[in-house]
Amino acid sequence: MSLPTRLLPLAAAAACALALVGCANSPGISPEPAASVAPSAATDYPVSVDNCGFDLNVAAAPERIVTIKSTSTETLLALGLGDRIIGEAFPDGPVPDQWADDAAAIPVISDFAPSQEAVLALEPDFVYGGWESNFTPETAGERAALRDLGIGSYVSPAACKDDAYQPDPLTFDVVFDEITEAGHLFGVDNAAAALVAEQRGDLAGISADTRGLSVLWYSSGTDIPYVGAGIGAPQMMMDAAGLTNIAAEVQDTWTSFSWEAVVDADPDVIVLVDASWNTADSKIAALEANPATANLSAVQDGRYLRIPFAAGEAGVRNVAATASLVEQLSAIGLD
Amino acid sequence: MWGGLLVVGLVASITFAVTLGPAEISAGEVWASVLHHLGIGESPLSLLRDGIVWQLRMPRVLTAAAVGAGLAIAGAVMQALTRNSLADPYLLGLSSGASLGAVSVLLLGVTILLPIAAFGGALVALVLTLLIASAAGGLTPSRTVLAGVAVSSLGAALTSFVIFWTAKGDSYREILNWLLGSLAGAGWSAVAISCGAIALVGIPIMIAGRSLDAFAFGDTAAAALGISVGRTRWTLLVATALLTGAMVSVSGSIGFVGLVLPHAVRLVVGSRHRVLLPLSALVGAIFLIWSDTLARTLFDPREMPVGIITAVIGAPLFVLLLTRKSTRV
Amino acid sequence: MSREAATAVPRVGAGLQSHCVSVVIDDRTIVDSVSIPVTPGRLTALIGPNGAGKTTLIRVLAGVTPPTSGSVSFDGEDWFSLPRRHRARIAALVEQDARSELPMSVEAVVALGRTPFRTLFAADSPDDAAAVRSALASAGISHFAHRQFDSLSGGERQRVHLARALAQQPALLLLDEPTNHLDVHAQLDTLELIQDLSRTHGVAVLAALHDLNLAASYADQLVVIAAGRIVASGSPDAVLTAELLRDVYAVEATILEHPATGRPLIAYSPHPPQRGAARGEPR
Repeated sequence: MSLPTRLLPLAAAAACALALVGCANSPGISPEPAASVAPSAATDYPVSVDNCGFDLNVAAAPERIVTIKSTSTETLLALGLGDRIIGEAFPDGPVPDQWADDAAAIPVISDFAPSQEAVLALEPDFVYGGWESNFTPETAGERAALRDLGIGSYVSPAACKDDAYQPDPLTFDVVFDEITEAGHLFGVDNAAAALVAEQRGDLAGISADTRGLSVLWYSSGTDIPYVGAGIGAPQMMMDAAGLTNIAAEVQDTWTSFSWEAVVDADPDVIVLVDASWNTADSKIAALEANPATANLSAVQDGRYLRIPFAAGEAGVRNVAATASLVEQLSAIGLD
Repeated sequence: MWGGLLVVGLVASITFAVTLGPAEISAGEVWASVLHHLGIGESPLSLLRDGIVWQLRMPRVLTAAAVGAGLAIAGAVMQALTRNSLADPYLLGLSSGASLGAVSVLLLGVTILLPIAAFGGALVALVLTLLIASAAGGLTPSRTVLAGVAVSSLGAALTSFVIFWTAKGDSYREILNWLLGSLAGAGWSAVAISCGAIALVGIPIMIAGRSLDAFAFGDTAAAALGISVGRTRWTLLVATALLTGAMVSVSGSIGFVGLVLPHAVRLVVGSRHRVLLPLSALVGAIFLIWSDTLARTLFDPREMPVGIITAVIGAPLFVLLLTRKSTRV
Repeated sequence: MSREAATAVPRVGAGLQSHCVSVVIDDRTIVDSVSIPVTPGRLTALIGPNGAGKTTLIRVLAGVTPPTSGSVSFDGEDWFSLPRRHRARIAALVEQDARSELPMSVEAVVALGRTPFRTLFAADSPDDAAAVRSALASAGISHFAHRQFDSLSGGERQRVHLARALAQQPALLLLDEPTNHLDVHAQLDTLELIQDLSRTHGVAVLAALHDLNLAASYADQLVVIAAGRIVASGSPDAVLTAELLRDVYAVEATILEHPATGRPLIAYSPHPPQRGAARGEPR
């Protein structure tokens, strides 16, 4: 009798909207904003794309876009399309400084995944979501339903859950491909190409740490830690930074882990994901309070790297975040 | 006879479960480390790896034993008190109340220690259940069960609401672990709470539980056998709720242990509570030790909440028991 | 009138005696000023229509339900002032067939009868085991002591309940319609057993019985109760008259004499459907 009643909160949690509120900006190198460009007359509409198994057909350049999750908002801002965003929802944190002005003008529909009615009330012609779960009847609406209303929808390919579509592993090329594809969909191929070229340049300019350090990417959880695993954005950034992920053998983007395995590996550094609902400092407190992890060498010496939550998911901030990680690493002395 | 075997089984389970885990530590080293902490000899392990044995595994195994025992006792007593084979320790709204306490700490940021909030929530739910049942006119088994259902639903609804309204990012994972029941965070304070509850409440219940036999044919028959029905029922209900509340506060609501294991033990040794309660406790302890060991080693290095394992094993086991003629439901 | 003579209450030395016991629940008077004895060495049968208050009265006598007014004395002392456990060592109650929710063996059920004699900490004593064995034998069910209680037939279960009461080694045995689901053979067996208990072992037995002829055959004393009040009391010969049956049960009958036992034998006459006349109320 107790199991079904306890599944209620489970179901609620699974379907629940997750709100992410602002947190620190990523220090260090930031991508420069691309100049605002008008839709390129050269783009060949209609455009057809297979996005996470959904047939997306865009007849004309979208003008009224709703974005869900920071990565979607930031990608459009980086492409200079800020003035086409009529509303954003579910932000994971404040945008980096160089887009702050553009972002300030965008109304926030909801701190959580928005309801379908709230989205439709704005009369958009396109919805750009960061997670597949942003497109359910309880949230923005199913993609087929939106299509019937003449509204296009796009999910960040890095977040596709289906085996055929989930990047395995996620690479910078996949991230750049998303930028290119988005640029194509929105009719700004030039801006996309420029942005990708810039990011590639920045990426090439990062000199990875050569000390072969091991790392724990600690996202959340006190009793059971939730960490970056082997095939997602965290792994991608750790590889580029020259770090070895102690959870790399788990074939998932993020995974629940065990403190025993962490203590056994005794990572050289710990990356702390900083979010307003789960700060880096609270994670440090948890590590120090647990008598087993308190003796980890990284905890004893305070060898922590910090990254804002929004920059930890696939998007236009990953290159800058990686550079920031490398910079923080260089400040850490190890024998 | 069974008692002796099970005690040996328990000691063996503790001894072996503590040698298992994602980290590669030999059994000999594990035992040497344990002996060192008990005052005999030196530990062959580094401080960190010694911490794995003594700070992570040992308290966790001991807590699993105590929680398993407590839940099994509570389940058996609830089944006798309510004369209902489907009763479990959480019948009086206890797990929903505790969940509400837990989410208020985990999500609403109320600054109380989690075990205290969970225990407090369980007690509030208990009082509410008993008040509703008595207001309906007398504390009969069926009224108590129904009142418990009402309180459980209310608690679950409020818990869902809090989660839905405030859960951000991946914080819902922590709630999920708690709701399913997990021994992952069990340190030495959890050992103190759970073993203390067994010593202070569980053992008296087992002794007083002999009078539960008389309840088998209803209140009138029990009264005619010299049992003070109202007083015995109240006392055992409250004591069981305290025991369950203490266990839930350290491990979340682990399911099926209190529901299924007493039936399994009854099949073998019958319904005499003088025998049923202690044996259920031992079986519960052994069962949960191994369920938790599976939970933390099956998908090494990933961990899952132990409540998933107990449900996966418990549900088919329950079906099996149902289909046997000697179990009446 | 014979009826007046039959309602005179005899004085009792030992045994249970109720004094003007009334039980009022939710403004309804279930038992109304009843004074009857439960005499050692005698089998008293309690008869009356359904809803007359027999079960409630028996529960008061068993010490389970305290009366709203009036008192019950045992051997001169106030019955309800004795500790509950003491009462349970003296009086055993057998109610209509109860099923257990949880699996129990026959032996375990019978052993419940020893509950009043066991303290929380005591181990099983050999006295307890001996009492259980003897109870099983008396009830004639030694051969299925190890079977599951719920696997038995209604009649077998009733005998197990009886054995449980016997295991209490009571001075007073109170039974509420113990022969309801039994076949004729089992009914007679049960009554023989409790009659023997009263005659040979001096137990004071009170049994509510449904079947008037059985009551007539076996009881030493009959007490007739209707709408909570005693209507008649005395030997079966004195109590069972055609007039009583008409008054209390609204049936026509001829009272004969049993050729073998000499006890009253009721022969019921065919019975056209009746309306209006309230059954069970004395005129």
